[in-house]
Amino acid sequence: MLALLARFRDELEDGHVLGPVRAALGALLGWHALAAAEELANIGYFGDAFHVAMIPEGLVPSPRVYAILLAARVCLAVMVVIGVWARPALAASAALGFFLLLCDRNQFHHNRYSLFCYALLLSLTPCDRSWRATESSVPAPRRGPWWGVRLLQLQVSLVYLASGGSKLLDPDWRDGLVLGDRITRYADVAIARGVPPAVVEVLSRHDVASATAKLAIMTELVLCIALWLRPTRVIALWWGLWFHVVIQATSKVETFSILALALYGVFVTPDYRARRLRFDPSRFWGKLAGVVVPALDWFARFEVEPWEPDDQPGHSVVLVRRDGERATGVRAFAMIARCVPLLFPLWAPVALFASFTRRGDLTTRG
Amino acid sequence: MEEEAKSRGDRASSSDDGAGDPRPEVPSKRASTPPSRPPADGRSAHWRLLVALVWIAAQATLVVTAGRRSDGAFGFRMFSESSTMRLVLHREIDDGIGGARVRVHVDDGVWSARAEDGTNHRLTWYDRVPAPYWVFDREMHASYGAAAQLERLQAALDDVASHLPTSDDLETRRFVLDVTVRRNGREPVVHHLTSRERLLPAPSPSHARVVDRGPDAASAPGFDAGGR
Repeated sequence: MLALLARFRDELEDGHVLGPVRAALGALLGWHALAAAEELANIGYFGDAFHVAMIPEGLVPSPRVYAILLAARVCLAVMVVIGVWARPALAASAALGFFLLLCDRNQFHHNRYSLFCYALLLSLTPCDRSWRATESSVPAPRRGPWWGVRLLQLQVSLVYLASGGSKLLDPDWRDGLVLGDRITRYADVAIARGVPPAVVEVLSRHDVASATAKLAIMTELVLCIALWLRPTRVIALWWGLWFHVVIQATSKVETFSILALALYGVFVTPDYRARRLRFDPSRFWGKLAGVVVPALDWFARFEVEPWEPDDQPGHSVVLVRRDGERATGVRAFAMIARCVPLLFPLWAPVALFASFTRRGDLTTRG
Repeated sequence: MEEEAKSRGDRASSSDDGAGDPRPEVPSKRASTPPSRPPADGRSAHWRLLVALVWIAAQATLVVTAGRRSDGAFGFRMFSESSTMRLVLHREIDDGIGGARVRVHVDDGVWSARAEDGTNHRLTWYDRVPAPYWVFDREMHASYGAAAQLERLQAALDDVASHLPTSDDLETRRFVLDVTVRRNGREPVVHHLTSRERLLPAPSPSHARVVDRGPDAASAPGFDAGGR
């Protein structure tokens, strides 16, 4: 136990993987600040109307101060995104966000509160070592204390545990009443977002809703553990991704799903360019991989280089995994899909297909 | 084919320093814009444990006690209910005959009332309560659950009643809100919320009788009941 605590306290890791997480959180902070500014312009200052302050009314800012605070939030969000004084900007954004939530309970939403929690915790991490608009090369030291990331991971798990646990204890949720009614009422939204009407109809049936509710509860409770275990992590991330995509498609949840998916970045193993991708620049697929992978490799998983063209026919792409194993063809694509965020939704089916190849396996190594 | 791929991979990576090996960290050139300071690297930073402990304890407390707050705030109870509600707003005014009160339906949160200057003023619920929160006479989603909405509606009713200028409305004694709640698709249950009494200059007779005139009260002689 003491060793675990000491490891938690002293762990140092490469902070490059946190850059995309920081940029995503910065974008979300900016989006919420701009939405609040739009409300101020269109509806007016919240303090002049009905509001429920959780702090003494005297501490609620005046209209002018509120406008200044909103402007500050926008500026801070930009600083977070471009990586200028990113960590202080994250902490200040979180502080302002918490304060304004306390000024009006009507503006409280779980996703906003979660965002400010995550922003505060991210400010304790080496998240400013990459994705900087003002300095293209990664500044040293790239490694930094990882305890803030562990806290972030704990927070993600806590959110799943609290959400899944409260649903498990609620008989209406367990029986599918809540989900069934919700699906029925948001059917129009789901259909407008591209969900086939037949699917919505099936999902709103009581027996299907009951099974779906149990699956949703199980998903949340399993995710809070599976994200921590190396053998199950990639599967949990893939399942969680689709879980949140479905929520976003079928409900009005502001930026909740985007936030959850952005936070999956803190579970990425911090091994900077630990895999190698070699491509044949004389072949179409090789050239494509040489362009696409570096552009979309946000977590810097691959060291991408062309090999010397020769007269021997061969593969367009050869991928050297962390364990030294080489992958080509569909196995290489499965590996790329696993590591490139935009292709990650395809990972499980591609990996399953790849497992049927001669050297394929169904493990989650890589 | 795999062998060939392997040989190509070897050839290509002959100058590599090995997958997964820690790379020497060379300080980069000083940026034109000052970078954020990296977190302190010091060992034996016990304060980190303390901060973590405080954070986890605070979060756990907020999660466990979320049930005590009607909206479950800070407890991450996402999609806790799928309840709907229908709001019907009334004003209670003196009937001016026997000292009884009549209940007058307020259409879409808008009504007109006799003001201090003798004219009728057009007043609206939305002067105090911004439009996105609630709509009247239509079924709407009870965000964060029925209990949270009932609590907020009660606060809103009191807020509207206490901020309605006497000079603009000499009629409304108080507001009554009928909230029909359908929790998770169950049978509807009606809750009656009343605002605090408004203090009007002219003392009114006994409030013993309350007559519900409904939405048709506007046509009753002697009353201006919520016309737009």
